[in-house]
Amino acid sequence: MKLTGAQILIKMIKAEGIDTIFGYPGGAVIDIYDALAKQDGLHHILVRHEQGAVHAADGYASVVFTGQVPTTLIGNDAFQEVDIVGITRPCTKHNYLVKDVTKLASIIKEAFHLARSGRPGPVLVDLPKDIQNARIDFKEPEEISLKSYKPNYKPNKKQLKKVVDLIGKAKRPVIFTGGGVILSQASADLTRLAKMADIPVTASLMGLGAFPGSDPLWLGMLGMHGQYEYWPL
Amino acid sequence: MANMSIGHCDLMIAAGVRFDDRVTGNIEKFAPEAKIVQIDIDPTSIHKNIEVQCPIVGDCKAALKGIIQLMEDKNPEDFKNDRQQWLNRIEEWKDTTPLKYEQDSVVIKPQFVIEKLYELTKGDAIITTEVGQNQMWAAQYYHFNKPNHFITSGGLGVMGFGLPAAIGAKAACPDKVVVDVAGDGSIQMNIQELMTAIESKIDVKIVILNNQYLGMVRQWQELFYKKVYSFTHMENAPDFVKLAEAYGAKGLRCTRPDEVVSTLSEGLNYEGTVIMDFAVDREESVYPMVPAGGAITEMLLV
Repeated sequence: MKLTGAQILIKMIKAEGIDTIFGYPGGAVIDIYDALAKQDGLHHILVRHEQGAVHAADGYASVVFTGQVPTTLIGNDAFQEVDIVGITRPCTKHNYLVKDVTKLASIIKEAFHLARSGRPGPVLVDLPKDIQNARIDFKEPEEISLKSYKPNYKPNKKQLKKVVDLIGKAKRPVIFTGGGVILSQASADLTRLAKMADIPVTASLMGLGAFPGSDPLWLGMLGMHGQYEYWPL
Repeated sequence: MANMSIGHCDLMIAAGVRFDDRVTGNIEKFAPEAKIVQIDIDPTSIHKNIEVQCPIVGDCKAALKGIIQLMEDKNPEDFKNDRQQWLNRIEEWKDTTPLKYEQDSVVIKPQFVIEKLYELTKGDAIITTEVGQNQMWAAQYYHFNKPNHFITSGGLGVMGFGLPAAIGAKAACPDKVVVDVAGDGSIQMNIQELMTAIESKIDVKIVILNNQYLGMVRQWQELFYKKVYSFTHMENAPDFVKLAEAYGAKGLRCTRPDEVVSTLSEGLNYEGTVIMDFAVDREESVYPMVPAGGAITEMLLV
């Protein structure tokens, strides 16, 4: 099956189970928008500023696709050329500039894998215009296996035993939770642990909601505007 | 009591946190008596900002489940060992200094708006925020009981986040009530996204706590810069009711405490996107507050 880069992009986004994307058309992404107009199943919400699209997608998924000048013009200071990979290096988990359309499908798959796994974070894929409109035989990408990126999900049991000993000995324990507990969908486990050992719970701003705010063991938020309570100075 | 508890705990189990400076304050005085356990899937987050005695690299869920399993294998009652004294002390802290504000009959307190919002939505709405005082009051007074109901820009702290984030949340969860708690400064940063909400028929509720200031910066200027309110005045703002109407949304304005509940009810019950503009106490500040770099137990109270 012959597909253009733009069509491969849409196919791969759908393959990730995504049904809604946010975006804004422009000269450098016009091929993607042409392909978007000719498909079903992927709902596109037109924002009024690109920043709006990024924030709208934030609570959703976090892969950003940007348009780039054709590969032949990169480095020429071409119209609307921006080194987006360079600019976004400090604020993404990873980013890509696609230079070979045959690698496009696997790069997109890899991008979603990185965005969702381990400590989740935004990934950016920059798509030069000639990559978007190049037409190739589409091949399903293989399963992702990255030698240099293998997040460790399974905790060391010895260390867990140490925690249990510490809980057993503690007189004044506190659990402090953050956004990571919400991202790993561990609210129920957190609540169970707190109740098992009567441990009060506090949270950072990003951790609010992981433990019920109406529970007697809830201490309120921690930090600069965290809850005080009386302290005899 | 959260800050005082951290000041006095002897064990901290930290899960999925990175010990941001806004959480720890002066790192030397953060949990000085505690052994710290840190669970994080990102090994580079461990020991990054604070020394921990028991690091655990892994998924929070797997780690918490693992700890629970090991506790269940022993006598679970052993783990409530001598806890009562500690819990009593925390109760005392809770009773003596709860979060507080006083609502009179003249000027709307921003905290009152959030508390009423919590009551009217039965704590079940998804709340997004902008950045600043609106964000802190939402965090303090909307008592989140469930995960994924508070969508806010934490470490990045980017103004203009709340409205597009609310649109995204509503697109993902069309059956939920989604409210953007905003300030009059922040809402102007991505106000154009009102058109997105209207065009895509994504129904979001915007609550503006309008104090005609960039309130959080003004608060710092009041406390640490001798009330030199340099460029934090926001008196020159659009008429948010007319602005809402110009985009095809509904606009409501509320200036009296006794109309807060009726305004919120009308806005929440309206089928469509709505701006509720509350004229709140101009110089209300977020308390308690730990000055940047201070120990978290050294708080400024009201």
